[in-house]
Amino acid sequence: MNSKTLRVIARLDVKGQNLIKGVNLEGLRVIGDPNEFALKYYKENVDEILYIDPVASLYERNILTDIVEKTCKEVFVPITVGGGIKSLNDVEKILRSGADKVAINTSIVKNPLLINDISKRFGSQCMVASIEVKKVNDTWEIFTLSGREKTGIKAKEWINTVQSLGAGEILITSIDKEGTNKGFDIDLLHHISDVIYLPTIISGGFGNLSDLEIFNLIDNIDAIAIADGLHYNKFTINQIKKKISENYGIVRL
Amino acid sequence: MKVSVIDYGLNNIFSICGAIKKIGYDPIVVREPNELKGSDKIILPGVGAFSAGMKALTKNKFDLAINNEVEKNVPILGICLGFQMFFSESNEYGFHKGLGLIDGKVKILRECEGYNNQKIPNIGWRKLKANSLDGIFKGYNNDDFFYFIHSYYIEPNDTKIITSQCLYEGIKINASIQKDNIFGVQFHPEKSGDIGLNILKNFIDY
Repeated sequence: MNSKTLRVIARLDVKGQNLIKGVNLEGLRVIGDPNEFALKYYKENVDEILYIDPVASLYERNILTDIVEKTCKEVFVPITVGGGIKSLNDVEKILRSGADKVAINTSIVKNPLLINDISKRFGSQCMVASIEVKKVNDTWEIFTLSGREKTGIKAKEWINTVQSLGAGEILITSIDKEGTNKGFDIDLLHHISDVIYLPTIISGGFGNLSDLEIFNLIDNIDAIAIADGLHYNKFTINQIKKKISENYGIVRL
Repeated sequence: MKVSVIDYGLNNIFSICGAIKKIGYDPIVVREPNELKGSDKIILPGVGAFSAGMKALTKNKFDLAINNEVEKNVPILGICLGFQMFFSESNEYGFHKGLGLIDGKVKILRECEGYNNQKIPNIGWRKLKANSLDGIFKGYNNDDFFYFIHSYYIEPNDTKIITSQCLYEGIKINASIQKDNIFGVQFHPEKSGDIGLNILKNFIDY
């Protein structure tokens, strides 16, 4: 049993005004109104909300500020926003719309020093390095543009880089497991856990309560982000938290 | 009731205002120091780095206006960075002077007594123990979680003003203070669910 307080985060992938869900970050299906889902999860005691626009970087689209502004009127837990964030200006807009943190992948790979600029200006606590990882041959590499673009950068190397540049938190998404409901990427997490020293959220693959065993297997995880396991009413937040509190660590019930 | 929320460009105005509206008050967003006059309550929110925050406050002389209202005994609540800026000094990215409303220092969590490699920042819901269930903790069951997200913590010279501490994997971190009309919280009441909204309500009703 872990002595940590663990977090359960609802991950809502948004395209336009819709909550969507894909498999392996592709093949997106419309599910509903993101605000309604966020409010439902808030009432069920979710610990945080994570909004991601998975194709924002690809189409250079605008950001989720309208949805966040609406969410903040009724939802009083932290909100992280990711997708298409490129500059200090973008970060400011998102934080001012009510978000607490930004999650950035593509732009920090293009320009790692953006991490440093953001933490100096807004504090490292709001700079979440979003890292999308896929197994390539015998190792793990990071990808950008929501899993579309290979970078050739090794996952461990990149984690060291974002940590040393002043990120405040890490969000690891396994592209191989994302949307599959086949459990978290245990091999990947074993591979990277020894280099991680920042608070870490894992995402991708949750499909069964037994998948929470990950907290016993790897003690370096602070939070899990769950998408379709919640969106399709397969599990309630309370069921997940209860299981964690009985077996794996402390949660806010 | 004039509840003023100071907007100095670096803070999360939207969510704090949303929270205040939710509990039935109409917050006024103050962007000029002279608009602080006549406030019944003042809230200084804040996210970000200490030096950037102080720079933004002093640039348009908000520091003087805040000190002025505090001297007039108007209750003020600082949240997170807003709270930290009440103190004399901080060592975040070098030495920086704060507003000096409270004698004491802002230090990196690594310097906290008993620190034992807990992750920094301290992010997440932490159990809060209040020293007294009065003031902003009225109605609190003293056994619940609040949302924290910070790398620095406050150490007042006068430890008697500490009103609560949170537990973070074995270490105790100062989580709030009250000195007369000055209130400060390290956690985010606007992001801590209903229990957090109640803290805000207690402050506004104080």
